[in-house]
Formats: sequence, structure tokens, C-alpha cells
Amino acid sequence: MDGGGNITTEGMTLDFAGQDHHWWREALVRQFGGAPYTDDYKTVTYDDQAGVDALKFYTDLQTKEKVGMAGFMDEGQAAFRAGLAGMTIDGTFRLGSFASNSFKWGVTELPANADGVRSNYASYFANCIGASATGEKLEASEKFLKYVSSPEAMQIWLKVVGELPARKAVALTDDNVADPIYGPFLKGLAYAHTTQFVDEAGQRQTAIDMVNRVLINGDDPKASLDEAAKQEQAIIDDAAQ
Amino acid sequence: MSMASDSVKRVGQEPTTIWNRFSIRTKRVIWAWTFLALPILFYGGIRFYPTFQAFWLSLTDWDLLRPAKFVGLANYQSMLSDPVFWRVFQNTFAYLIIGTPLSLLISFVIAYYLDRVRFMHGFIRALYFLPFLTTAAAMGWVWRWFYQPVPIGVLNGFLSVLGMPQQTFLRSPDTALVSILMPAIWAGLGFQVIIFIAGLRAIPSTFYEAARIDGLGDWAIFRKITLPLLKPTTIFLVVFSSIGFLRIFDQVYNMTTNDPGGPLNSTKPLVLMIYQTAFSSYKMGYAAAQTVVLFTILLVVSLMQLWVMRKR
Repeated sequence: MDGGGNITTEGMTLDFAGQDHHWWREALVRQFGGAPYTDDYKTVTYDDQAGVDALKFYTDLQTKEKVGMAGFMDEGQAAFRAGLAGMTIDGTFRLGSFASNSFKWGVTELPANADGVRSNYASYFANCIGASATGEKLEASEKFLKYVSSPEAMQIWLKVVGELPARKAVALTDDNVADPIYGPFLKGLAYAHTTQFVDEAGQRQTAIDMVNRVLINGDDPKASLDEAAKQEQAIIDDAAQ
Repeated sequence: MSMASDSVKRVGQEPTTIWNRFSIRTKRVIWAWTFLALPILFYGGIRFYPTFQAFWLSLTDWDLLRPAKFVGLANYQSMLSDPVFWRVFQNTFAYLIIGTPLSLLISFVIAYYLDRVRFMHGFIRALYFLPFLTTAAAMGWVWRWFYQPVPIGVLNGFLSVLGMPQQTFLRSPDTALVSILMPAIWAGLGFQVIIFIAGLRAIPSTFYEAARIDGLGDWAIFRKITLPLLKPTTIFLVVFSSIGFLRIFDQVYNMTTNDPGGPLNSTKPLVLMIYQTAFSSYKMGYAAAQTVVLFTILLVVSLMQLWVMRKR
């Protein structure tokens, strides 16, 4: 803090538009004893006490515990890179830009709750062959797909790009699990959930607004959560039509 | 042979074709239309056809993947019952109602006095014009950093050096829209100043001389000569800048990429909503309906301004 009471260094980044909305949805809600959605991801179920507790836990980090401030240094990753935030929650894709950090840093799993419950969020992409491919092109694309999904290619992809391998046999080698940087990410995969978004930007927006209503407008977390659940359910229902 | 004798007879004349039977007048008309056809086809193909296509799309549920299905006015119904749309509608007019008068007032005052400055006139004018040449995206990002809280925000850094509390700028729904509007006004200022100066210079100095001889004061000259004769310039700038503020996008998008149009939709203009509906939610039909609304607003506002400021 400076003389005017302004934050100049923070304990952890609070950036709901970054990865924090995933942390809240798939990790915190579950750790507070709830579930964000039904198993088919067609119904929002975080609008219960667990959701309220999870939201309050998150917003309290700024309003009560004062360990971070949303919007500090514009983005959480920028605050961490500048060495002005102690911790940040981010994905493997960020490792490249953190590689040149001028200070010592490390990776660890997301914290478990008091009962030892852990949860995480993981997203993946799928390679596929277009339905209109035929003949030579189809053959070539099959060969290509076979190669990019081979253990060899996945290991190269991890080394060069930093994305985790999809094959367990490749991902969970002793070397990879013992890696101080990739190890924690790989361990996190074991208890990770993948949100099935129908409109990721739209659904993320309902979550960002939910936190902003509490942090900026000082709204009641429960009212804000109910509003977000209503909006997100409308997006999911709309896409199902 | 009749053919041979025919050609002998017509030596020195052009062969008879359909073209040659036309009179010079008709030929001219044909040439004119040939040349005119090009821009007409061009505009028909890339302007008018897509415009009508958008009107049609606004009545469908096209989502890029499945073929468009006619849904009547359903898109318009859901738009009118969407609170976000009304918030966005309000924001769009806030940009217009604050932006246009404020930017015209500032640029007029600058032009009026800059016109009298002789010292480094060209240099000062260039300084005002410079922001107009800058890419809006780059400008948006630089201002976004100006507005950050300490330790990186220049404006807040300055305030705290003076011992004043930090301002929220882009982080609060109350101040974000105005914070985005300021750089937008600043960016367009140079253009408006140049046009106003040109308008001021076009007023014959004899009018002023005659007025002075008749004993008119500065204020009377300003009201009776400068303002009325500047009317065509003012109309142009009002229409031009209104259209600019009604379709503001670059500044908003670049200054709020983390939470586009936020916080809490407080800065989202119609164009950004259209962009998100179309290219992040892929609801092309709904986006087309919003486009039709924007088109109608632009049309009505422009016509109203021309009517209000018409020559009487």
C-alpha cells in the first residue's frame, strides 16, 4: 500500500474474466459442497447455498481479506509477470509468457478444502476430419490425424507448445509428473472437470457480471448469484432449441 | 455482283451496323449508361443487396450452421424484451447526446481562436490533427493504461501524488462511459477543427468590415454573421459526428476487452452488441435485427438533423 491507501502489491490476482471464473465454477462451487451444473451441463445448479458460499469466498478475498484487487495492473497475468502479485491462477498456455519472469516462481495444484476435496477445470480441443473430405485428401488427413495424436507427437507438443498430452500414457510418464512445472498441472487433470459451454463468451459474461455486481455495486451475493443463474440458464436453453 | 457494286458505291463510308444507326444523342446516352452501370452494379452488389439481405436475415434464425428458417418478428420481440438491449440503446444515445455537442463546442472554440493565432499556426493545427491520424485501437489501449489504478495508471498516479483519492474511471459503471467518450472526442477533434477553420475562412471579410463600420459589437458580429454563415459547415459536422458516435466501437472494444462493453454493460454500444451476437454467439438472425435497428436510428437521426437545420 502507498500513503494514500492504494494497493501497490497484491497477494493474489483477482481476474474473473481470466481463469477465475473457471476456478469458481468447477472448483470452488464443488469444494463448498455443490455442483455447478447437472451432469449433462443442461441445467444450472450453482444457485444454492454452496454457490453463495463459493461466491462469497471469492469476493471476500477482495472485500474482507483484502489480499487482491480486481483490475489491479489491468490483468492478473500482467500483475504476476511484473512481480507485483504473489499468486495467480492460470493455464498451461500462459507458461510461455511467464518463462522470462525475472524472479523465481513455481507451480502448484489448486488448494484443497478442509475436507481434502480437490477440483479443477480443464479444457481440450478436438481434431477432426471434415465430412466433405474424400479420396486422397481423406487419406492424407487420416494420416495426419494419426500422427498428431501419436504419443511421439504429443510429447513434442508438450515440449514445444506447452499443452498437456491427451494420452494418459504420454502425460503420466515419471519424467512429466516429476517436472516441477508440468507436474502439478498433470496431477490436476486427475480431478478436473470440463464445462460444456454452449456459448463460452456469453456464459463467461454472466459470471463476470455476477462478481462485478458484488464487488462494484455492493449487491447481495445471493441476489447476484440468482440473477447469473437465470441468465446462464437462458443462454443454455436458447442454444438447445 | 450486287455485293461488289454495293461496296464500290459505299467507299469512304463506314459499314452499316446497328450502332451506326443510332443518332449521336442516343450514342451519348448509351455511353453514359455504360459508365454509370459500373458503380450501380458495384453498389447494388456490395451495398444494397447485402442491406436488403440483412433485412431478410433479421426475420430468420440463421446461425451459420443450419439453413435460415423464417421466424417472423421473433428476433425483434426478444430484442425488445431484453434488458441488455435497452441498456445498450441508452448507452448508444449517451455517446451521441454527450459526444456530439461537446465535441462540436470544443472544436468550434479551438477553431475560432486558432483562426486568429498567427504564431506557429500550422504547427498548432497539426498537433490538433495528429490524433485523427492515429489508429483507434492503439489510442484505445494507451488511454486504457492511462486510466488504470496505481502503480501503472498515469492519471491515478498523478492524483495520488497530489494526495487525492484514485478515480475508478473504467472500473465503475458510473464513470466508464464518459472515460471512453473522452478519448473518442479528442480523436475526432482535429478533423472538426480543420473543417470549422475552413468554414470560418470562407466567410468574406467584407461582411465583417461592413458590420464594424455600422458599429456592431463583437458579440453581435458573432451572432449575426459568423454563426449563420457557418451553418452549412455546422450541419455537415453535426451529421458526420453524430453518425460517428452512434456507431462507436473501436474505443469501447479496445478499452474493455477483458469484459467487453462492461463493467455491467455500462459502456456497451449497439455496434459492440451486434458484433458479440453475430461473431461470438453466432446468432446471425438476431444480430441482423439489431443491425436493422441501428440502420433505422442512423437514418432517423440524420433526417431529423437535416430537417431541423434546413434552409428556411
